[in-house]
Amino acid sequence: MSAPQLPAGVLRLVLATSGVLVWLIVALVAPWLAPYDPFLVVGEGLAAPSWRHPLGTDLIGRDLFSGIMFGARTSATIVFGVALIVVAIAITVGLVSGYLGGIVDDILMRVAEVFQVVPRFFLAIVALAYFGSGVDRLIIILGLTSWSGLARVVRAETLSVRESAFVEAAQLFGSGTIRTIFREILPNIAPTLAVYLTLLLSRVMLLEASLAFIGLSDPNSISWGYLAGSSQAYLRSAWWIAVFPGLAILMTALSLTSLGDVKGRRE
Amino acid sequence: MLKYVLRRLIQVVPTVFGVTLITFVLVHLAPGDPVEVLASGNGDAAYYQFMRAKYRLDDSLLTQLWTYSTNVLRGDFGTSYLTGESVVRMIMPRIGSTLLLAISSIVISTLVGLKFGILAAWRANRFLDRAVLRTSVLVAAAPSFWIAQVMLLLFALRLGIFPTDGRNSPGFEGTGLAMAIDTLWHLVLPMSVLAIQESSTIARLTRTGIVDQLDDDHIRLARAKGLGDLHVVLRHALRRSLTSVVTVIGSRIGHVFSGAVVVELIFGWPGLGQLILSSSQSRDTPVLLGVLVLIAAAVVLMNLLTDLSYMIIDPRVRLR
Repeated sequence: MSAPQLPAGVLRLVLATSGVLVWLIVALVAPWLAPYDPFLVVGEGLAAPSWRHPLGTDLIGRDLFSGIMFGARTSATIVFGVALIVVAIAITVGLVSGYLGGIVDDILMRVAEVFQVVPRFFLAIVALAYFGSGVDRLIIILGLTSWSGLARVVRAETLSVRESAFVEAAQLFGSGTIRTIFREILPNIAPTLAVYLTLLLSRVMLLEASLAFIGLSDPNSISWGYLAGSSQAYLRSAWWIAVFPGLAILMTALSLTSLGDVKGRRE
Repeated sequence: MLKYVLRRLIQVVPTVFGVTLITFVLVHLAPGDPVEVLASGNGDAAYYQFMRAKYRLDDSLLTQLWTYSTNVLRGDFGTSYLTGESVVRMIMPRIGSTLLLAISSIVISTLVGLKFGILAAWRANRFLDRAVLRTSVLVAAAPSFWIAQVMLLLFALRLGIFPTDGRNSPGFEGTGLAMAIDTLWHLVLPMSVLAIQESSTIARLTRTGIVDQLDDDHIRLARAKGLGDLHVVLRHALRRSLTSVVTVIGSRIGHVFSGAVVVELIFGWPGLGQLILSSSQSRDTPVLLGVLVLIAAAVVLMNLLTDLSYMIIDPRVRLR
């Protein structure tokens, strides 16, 4: 090609970063940005997209555009909550396993294996149906069932970093275990961790959306999956309720995976 | 070899038991009393007492688990809290529907995924390869319910090519071939949703597997001998990467079953996914447990089949 080209991946990185940023900003300022209160009836029921309601309204006349903005809030809360749990467990398990080795390593990796084969979706259905759904319960159940893959990554990285010359050097100069972990090992595994985390979080987002779609969302907050799920009964008359919330999920999940993908290739 | 098969068969038991145990504990810890489901919200204290005794709800968790497990081994999954119907009889007619959906989508996605994976590897880093990669990234980020609803809107409601829901047309009387064609016609859309997702994953991983092999010494030798690109890809690289492809397909079965829950809901496909949803919403524990135990067994058995197929593909495994 003769046209001047950007370095590979820059365009994708810019798009992915802006996608994630838009999501986070909307999540933060939704109450001030949204044209209407998403819980209030503000127009006719099942109104098609128009200037007044850019993405149409739902059955009883609530504004879908505002609903999607508040949905960003719910998905961001859940995704970051899950991220906190997953990172905390994965780093602890991975570091301890990789750094200590031996029987501790064996036991922790067996436990991780069990969590890897547990059918997450079905477990979540049972837990949410019996305990009632809520943002807190969604975060806990998705967090507790999603850490095992990342823990293996942390462990593998720890193993390879532990053997490296600079860690040995640090230890020769009298750096203790805790100090070595925080000053030498963690900073070195952080980039790989971030790549895997973004990919994992996009999957968590899709999983949460599916659960909400089948009716297991927090009854007190609007989520994209819930909005899409509510469309099923009026698919014939109101295509917009099915199309736009899913599109919001698609764009956000795509931005997250692309971000991880581009970062991964730059390593 | 027989010993290996036997050993793997025995490993199936703890996994299925694990799923039963986790579900049992979860259901037990949950707030609320199953008797209220049994009595549908009304009934006096004496009736509650009678129901508690009938379903042995006052036994300890361990006793209940033991009774349940031994009953399941004898093929008795109990009766529904809600309707009193035998769980086996509720599940039976639905197994076929879900298996039809799951197996057809796995077969189609394997064929399509392999084809595009091979083509992409053959044309690595060129247009087709990029197109396959981009599509698979896009599909992986799309929620399955969104793909399903968009296809439903497009092909059933707008164009009217396929039916919107069900397994057969309402009031359909035909048998034999006519019946099969009618079912197939209803199967196309739900099956495609699952197949689109699976095939894009299979294509991407097949492509990666083959391209990794292309750097190998024996491939270079084959090329140096003057063998054509496609020939090298098909005869040498694909063969050596086939084990990883088989692993992927085997490990996707659980994913297909989860996807089936959403797809069955959207297309009104009368399978196990619908039963999971309805029984979890109505807290009909025996039905829910029965379906979950079956699905866990199916997933584990599929993984076992995957492992066994290694022995056919890769003779080195047989020696271990």
